[in-house]
Amino acid sequence: MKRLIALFCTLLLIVGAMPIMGAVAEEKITLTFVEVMTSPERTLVLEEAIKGFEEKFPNIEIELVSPPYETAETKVASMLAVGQDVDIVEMRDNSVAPWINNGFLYALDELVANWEGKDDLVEAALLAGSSIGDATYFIPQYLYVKALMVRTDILEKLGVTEMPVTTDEFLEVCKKITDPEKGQYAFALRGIGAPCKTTDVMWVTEVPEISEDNIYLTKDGTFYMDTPGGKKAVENYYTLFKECCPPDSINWGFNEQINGFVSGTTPFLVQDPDAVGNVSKSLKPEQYTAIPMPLGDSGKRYLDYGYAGLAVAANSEHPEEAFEFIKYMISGEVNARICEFYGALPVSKAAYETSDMFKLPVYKAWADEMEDENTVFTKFPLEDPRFAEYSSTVHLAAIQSYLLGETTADEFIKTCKDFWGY
Amino acid sequence: MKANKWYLLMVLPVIAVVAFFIFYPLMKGGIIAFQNYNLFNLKDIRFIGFDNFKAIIDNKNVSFVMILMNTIKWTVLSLMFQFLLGFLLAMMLRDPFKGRSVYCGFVFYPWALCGFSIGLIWSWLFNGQFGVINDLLMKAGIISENIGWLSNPDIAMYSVITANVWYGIPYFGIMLLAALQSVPSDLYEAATLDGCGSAQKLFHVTIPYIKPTIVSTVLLRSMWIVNFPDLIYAMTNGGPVNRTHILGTMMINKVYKEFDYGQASAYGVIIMVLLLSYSIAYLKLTKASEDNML
Repeated sequence: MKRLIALFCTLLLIVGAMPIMGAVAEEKITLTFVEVMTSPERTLVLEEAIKGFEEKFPNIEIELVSPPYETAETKVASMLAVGQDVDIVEMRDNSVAPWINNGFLYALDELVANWEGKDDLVEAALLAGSSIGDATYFIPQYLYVKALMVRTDILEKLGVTEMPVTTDEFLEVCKKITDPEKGQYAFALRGIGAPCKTTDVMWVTEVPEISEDNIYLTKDGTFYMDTPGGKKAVENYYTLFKECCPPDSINWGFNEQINGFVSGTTPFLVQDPDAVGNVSKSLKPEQYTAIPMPLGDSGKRYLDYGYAGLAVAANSEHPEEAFEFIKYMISGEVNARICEFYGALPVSKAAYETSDMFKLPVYKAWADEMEDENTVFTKFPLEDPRFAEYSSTVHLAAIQSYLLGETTADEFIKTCKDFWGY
Repeated sequence: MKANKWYLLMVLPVIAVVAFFIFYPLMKGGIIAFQNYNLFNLKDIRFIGFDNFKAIIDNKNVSFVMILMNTIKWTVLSLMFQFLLGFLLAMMLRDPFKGRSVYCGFVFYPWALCGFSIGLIWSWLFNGQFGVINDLLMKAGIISENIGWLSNPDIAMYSVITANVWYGIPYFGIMLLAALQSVPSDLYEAATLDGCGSAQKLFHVTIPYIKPTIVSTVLLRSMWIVNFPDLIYAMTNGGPVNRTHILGTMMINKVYKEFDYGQASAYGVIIMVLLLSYSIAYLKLTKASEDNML
């Protein structure tokens, strides 16, 4: 009997300890996460976030891979193409289409459907996530939307107190404050580095009925520049450059634009909210603000939402855990911390409540214009393989040539139209 | 015979490594140049004959002739000034003086920098609005309004060449200085006794003696300049209006901006063919002039 009781107790102990033994035996999962917008400071922010995740999920370890910024996207593409062990990838909007086409990404629809926290995402984030391809392949981490940044202190000194609401008013104010002899100009032109992403957003507002699927087309399929409003916008831009911009700005990229704005040489700047991150290092909050993009003849403001996000690799062995990591990265506090580093708009509604930075008045412009009934969201044709060539080579050279007076407005429009074949 | 086989076996690993790391990528690059190889759609990789080359040459928006002429201008002018100033530098450093080694260290510093960072430094120096160069010229009363060093299509190429010359002088300085120091002093003494002036010594003693170094350094450097788009990329991105685009910058554009590996490889093949033809012609010409001298 004693033996029987002893055997029973032993069995009981074994059965009781099984879940614990199972937990011990459970292998620690390692997920490989590749960042593409690498910088030493940013990598530190990510490492800090990863540490928080690993504390929350002790059975998951995140291995961060940080390829050099310039070659990161092609490096990630190669890793995914050869089926290297990658679970989570960071991606910019322009790489979404090629990666989906190549079958590099895992369709997240099912995981998103069962995700209770998705209501915390702002609407544009959900729209962006499913904007390309037949499924949701990524979740944006932050959003870029254009607004007009203004050096209020400089404008006040120059006697401008009323902010321009329409494109005509904007051009008038720019002409009024420009005085090249004093080194005072008005507008920080985007000369290089895909200037179409600025010009098109500034120009389409003159054209009624822009398609919501393609910024280059009206709803009836006409190339937007090839309309009276489009031509007016193109011609006004020439006037803006000739009369209100430093001639050198034809070679200005992001850094030079910021420099022009911070120095006060060009108190108007059309930029994404991440510019605030740079500007705030040199200017006090009371020296500048942002206002919604001016409205053109259409009475509408057509905005594109740029984004960068996170996706699960198609050949990941742990898609659920990888998605868990993505959810963590865009949860209020973590999303706020990462966006604060850039200044770009968080996708988590909670981030706007927890972060002091996004309560700054300068960010009100983005909130206002996104809620404005005159704002319509449209898209650059990122899924069209020709867009990369258009933005980086064709449009770039054509607009420089036009602004330098080597070609006419009609010739410029024809070059763009012929390229797209619309 | 047996020993020869043994040597061959010893050399085999080196041949294998070289073949794998140099010839394989070269061959692969050559093959991709004839394929539809775009990162946008890797499922549709197929041979398309000379279509990539046709697309480059027939491109209405970026004239291939202009890119070719830009490449020649960029290479010839950069090489010429790098060589002349580098030679001058080496001549000045040939004779010892106090603090020469420290001075050499400063002078050779640019060679230690990477192309992209040099591009960033010079793009700020040449900035038409906030740049130091305009500021200095303005304060010296030489100019009355800002010059668009990188934004004026007629000037931009010369600005990037200036930055490249600054970068390349130390290379010729180092190489030619080493060669100059190997010229025996008794040759100069003999030349002096024969009544040679400085110019005659330079052309009849110094240059002939260091000619092998000049030939090899000029050949190497010209190839490096053709394959040195980093500087242009950082300074002008090929603009304004493609006036500073060279074959190398177009190749980078195709890979990193347009994800078109096929056309990028076609640019690579064009560069390789041009450099190969140039090297053969250059070596033949320098060999011929050497034979004539003998």
